[in-house]
Amino acid sequence: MKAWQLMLRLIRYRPAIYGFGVLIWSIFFISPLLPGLINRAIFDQLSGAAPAVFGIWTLLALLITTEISRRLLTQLGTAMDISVQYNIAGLLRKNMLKRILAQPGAQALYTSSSAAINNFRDDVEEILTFSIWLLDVFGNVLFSLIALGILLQINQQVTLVILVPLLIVVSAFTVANQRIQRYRQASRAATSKVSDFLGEMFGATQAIKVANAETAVIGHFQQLNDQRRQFMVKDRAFTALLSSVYANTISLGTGMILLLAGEAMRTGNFSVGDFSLFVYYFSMVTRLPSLIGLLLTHYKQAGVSFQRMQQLLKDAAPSALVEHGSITPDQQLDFSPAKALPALQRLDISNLSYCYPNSQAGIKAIDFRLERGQFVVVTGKVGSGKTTVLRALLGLVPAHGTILWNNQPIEQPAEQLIPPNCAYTAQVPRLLSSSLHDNLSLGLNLSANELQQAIETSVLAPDLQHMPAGLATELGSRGVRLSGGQLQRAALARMLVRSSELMIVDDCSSALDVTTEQQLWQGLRQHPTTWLVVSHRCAVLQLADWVIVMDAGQIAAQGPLNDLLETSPAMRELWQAEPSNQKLLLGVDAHV
Amino acid sequence: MQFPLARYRRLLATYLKPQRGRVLGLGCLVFLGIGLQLLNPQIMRRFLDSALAAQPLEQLTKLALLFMGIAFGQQLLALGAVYLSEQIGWTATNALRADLTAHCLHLDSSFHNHKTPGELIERIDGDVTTLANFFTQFIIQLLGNGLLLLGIIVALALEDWRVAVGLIVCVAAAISLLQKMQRVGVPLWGESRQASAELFGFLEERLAATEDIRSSGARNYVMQQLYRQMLVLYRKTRKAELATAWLYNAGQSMFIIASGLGLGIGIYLYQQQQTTIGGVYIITAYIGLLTTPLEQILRQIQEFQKASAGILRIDELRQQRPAIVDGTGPTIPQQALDLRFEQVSFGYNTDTPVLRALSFELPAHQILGVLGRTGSGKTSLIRLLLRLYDPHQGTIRLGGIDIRNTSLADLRRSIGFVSQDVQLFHASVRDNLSFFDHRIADQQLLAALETLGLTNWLNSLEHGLDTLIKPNGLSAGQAQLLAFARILLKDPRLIILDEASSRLDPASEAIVERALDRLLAGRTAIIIAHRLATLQRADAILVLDAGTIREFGPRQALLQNPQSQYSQLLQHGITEVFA
Repeated sequence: MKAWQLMLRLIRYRPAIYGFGVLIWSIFFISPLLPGLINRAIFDQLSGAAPAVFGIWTLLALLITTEISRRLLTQLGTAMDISVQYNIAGLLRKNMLKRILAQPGAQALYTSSSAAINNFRDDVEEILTFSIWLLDVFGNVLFSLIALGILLQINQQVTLVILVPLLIVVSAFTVANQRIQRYRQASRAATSKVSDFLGEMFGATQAIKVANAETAVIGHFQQLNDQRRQFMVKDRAFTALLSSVYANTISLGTGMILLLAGEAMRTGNFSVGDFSLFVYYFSMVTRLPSLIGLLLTHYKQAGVSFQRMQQLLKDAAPSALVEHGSITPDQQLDFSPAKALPALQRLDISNLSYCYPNSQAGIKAIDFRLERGQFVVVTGKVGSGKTTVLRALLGLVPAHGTILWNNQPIEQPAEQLIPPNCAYTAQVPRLLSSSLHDNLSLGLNLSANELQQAIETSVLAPDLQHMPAGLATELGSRGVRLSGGQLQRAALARMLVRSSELMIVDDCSSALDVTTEQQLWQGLRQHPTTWLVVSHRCAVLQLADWVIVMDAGQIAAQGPLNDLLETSPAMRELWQAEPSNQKLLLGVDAHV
Repeated sequence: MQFPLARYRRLLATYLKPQRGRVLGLGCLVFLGIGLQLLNPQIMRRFLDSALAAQPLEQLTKLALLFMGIAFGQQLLALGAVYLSEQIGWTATNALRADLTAHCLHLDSSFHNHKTPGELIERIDGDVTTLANFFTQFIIQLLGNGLLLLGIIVALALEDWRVAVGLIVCVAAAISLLQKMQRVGVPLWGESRQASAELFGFLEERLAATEDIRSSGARNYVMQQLYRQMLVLYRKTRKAELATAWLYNAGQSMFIIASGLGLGIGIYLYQQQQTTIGGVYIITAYIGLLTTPLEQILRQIQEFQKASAGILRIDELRQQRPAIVDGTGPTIPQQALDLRFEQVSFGYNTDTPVLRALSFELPAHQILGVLGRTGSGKTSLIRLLLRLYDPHQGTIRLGGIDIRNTSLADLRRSIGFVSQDVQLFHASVRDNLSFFDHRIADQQLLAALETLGLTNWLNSLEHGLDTLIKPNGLSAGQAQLLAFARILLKDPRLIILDEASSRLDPASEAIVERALDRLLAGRTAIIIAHRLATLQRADAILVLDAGTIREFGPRQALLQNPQSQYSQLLQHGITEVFA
């Protein structure tokens, strides 16, 4: 889809608001026609060139009224602009976030979250600027056409002689605008050299000091600064030259009107009023080429921004970016909620595979089974694929394989294996900057009892006693006000309140002390549900009914812990590498 | 906000004095431009009156040409003024940037540990850039536009005093409205920007938490939150926009009333036959001229407020003083140096000592190998020797001189230091070797590379010494060798080598070994060793443990004593212990 097609779809999202905006701004931009004409009538009456139709004081009052009404129009126009911007920006942002949330959760972005914010902010801003420019230029074109018509009627010769060459000059300089872009790029490049070198210098302060090279390094810095100065001065001076060309066309045109009108005025063919009208309209008509030039620049930038935003949508159709839909908080459902599956008796996973893009890492042909009430632990070395197994099962990465829920296939795990069927705590859980309560509920209506139970089970109760505001405590950006252990237990509580048939936990107790850890897992184990847990901790492994040992993306062994300790060398190795045994290893190191 | 004017005057004086001529020129251009701006409506008036009085065409043409000439001259002056003021502004701010950078480089490590490079870039480049306007525009624009305003009022008073009085009233009203616009607008805009920051903070957090949101089944909830946040932003922005627009329009209405008033008085005077059509025209023309200087003055005041924040932050930076005081005493002799630590104690803060009463002596021409675990004090010992920090107690003597007495430049000239991670700049090979010192001849650079066996490497580069080095573009071995070349060029008396712990491939290791032979020849050296091969060249060994000397002595003696730490280390293999 081309940029203008996308733009059109955006405009048609709330056609009435945009249409009203077009109407108001068009009236605003056309309205200077009136003061010009009134001024002309005033001067003509004063000089006696035209008979009095209205009294001169009536004309003056009319003039002031027109101008004040124009002010009122801008007030209304501003309100429309804000509405237009809210709707267009809202629709773009909604569609981007919606598409991102429709992606596999662990790989929703093509870039970092802070870089993606640029799409939500700067690129949207670019589209807004264009949409407003469109209104302005439209109004100006209308004005210019009518004004030219009026001028031609008054004096064809003067109009053509002045306007045609000047419009050509101005258009030519609008094209020269590209040169400014070049200068701007050069000065931006010079600027980033300066700041990059500053960064390098302050990243290597110690090395510079020790090398006794402060003076020489500053010398180099001054050189870079000087280069920047030259480019900057060029850039600014050329910009000033361009705006002075525009200013000059206006005064040159006025001068030419004086030259041409002199004779006609002397003979009375061209009145003072005509003269004032020419000067007045003329200055506004010459703005048009530069306005159109700027509009084209903004159109190009809008096209680039559309493309950048579409990157976020990944494989969705380009038109998904401008898809119409409500942007008001009216409890609409952007995603249909998961249907409750029958109570889990048994979950069969077979041939589950996933390979990360551009790498060899991943999991291959994973088969295992969960039965109602079981506590199954997946273990393995760092990088052996434990987390990937969970993500593949949950559809957080686009994996292949068969998942059978009571022998019924799960076609779309990402849509079906979510609460109330399945709840999950990630390895690095993310909390959000709102209250603890809102972080746990995430929109659910929870009874005090449900909350209390989740908090007890996740051993969060002792921490809660130290929080003065209790559940209303604000957690700060990404939950920074919680310690690592608190954060993990809060995430567990968040999972527990989504009481589900299957609970899946990824290695979440590593930041806990031993007592809390044991208390936590024993509590969780008693929760009447089926558990799938990734962990290498003794406290967890000892509770397991079944252990799956991962190695290099495949299952190395599975079975009850005690059997594995006898039969699987991989399991023995893991068991011995547990931190409780590491004091021995440290002892070897410490004898130095 | 308080404006400490003395500070501004000092700043202006320091950085504008060297450009006195340019500043004077700029002032002339601006004032001439104002004169021309006031002149042109007068020409127009004469034209109109002459045309209506049916004066000869020749005279009309002359007036028209004069009008164009003046307008053109005015643009030329404006262009010259932009050019000059940009030159002045950038020259002045560049000087300020260089001064600030030099100042920051001299500050202590403790300062740099608390400031990220990004923050310093913002201070030195960002804040200073906001000052560019202050240097050039502020005074000239304020004075210039003030004069223009005055000129317009005087010119109008010459036409009729009533017009001038009416105008002053309207302008005063407009100014007070525009000021009120700022007072009302600033907090409202603050709220709007806050809402905008919250929206993007909200989005960033959610984008980073997609895994949690999906698996918690909270997607609809998050979408609803987005809609709510956007609505808040919309309401706050609308409030701010409309409030500022009301005040702006009210201000503009004052101008409308002023021009209506002017025109009315003009018409009245004309009807009383006290003025001509040209007279009426000139009144409206001058009133039309008014908007620009008024807006300029307000804008300058705003810019000044922005610059003030920058000036305060820059001043704060300039007031930081290094704790390491430069010595003024004797210079360090130009020969291989002996080194003595005398009861040296040190800690980064007072309650956790890092070095405790450390004493040892290293004779000239000898090589000392230093061993110890992470945190044992090896790095601190080196930092003290380079005077990146000063000891709390005790003295370090180099060539018999207390290093606190000699100048920092002299001390650091005498010591060559190769750290584990070699700092390379995004610059040419030449600049990287010479540290941007252009006094070093290419001949010397080539000789140093030759000594280290890097000639082949240099020949393989596309542009020789001018080739740009990209950070991370070199292997660890190459970077290490370039660092050696830097030291050779510096030709110091004492060499400190913090050996790279990352293992080099065997080929590079052999080259580095050979290079080390040449580097260390005829010099005193301290090597923080990570490899056995390096220790074999040491004359003495120092084992540090928790800031104290665990073992110190000639290498051979320690080697022959099977009880010594050193000989036990050799059995275990040193890298495993200190990795």
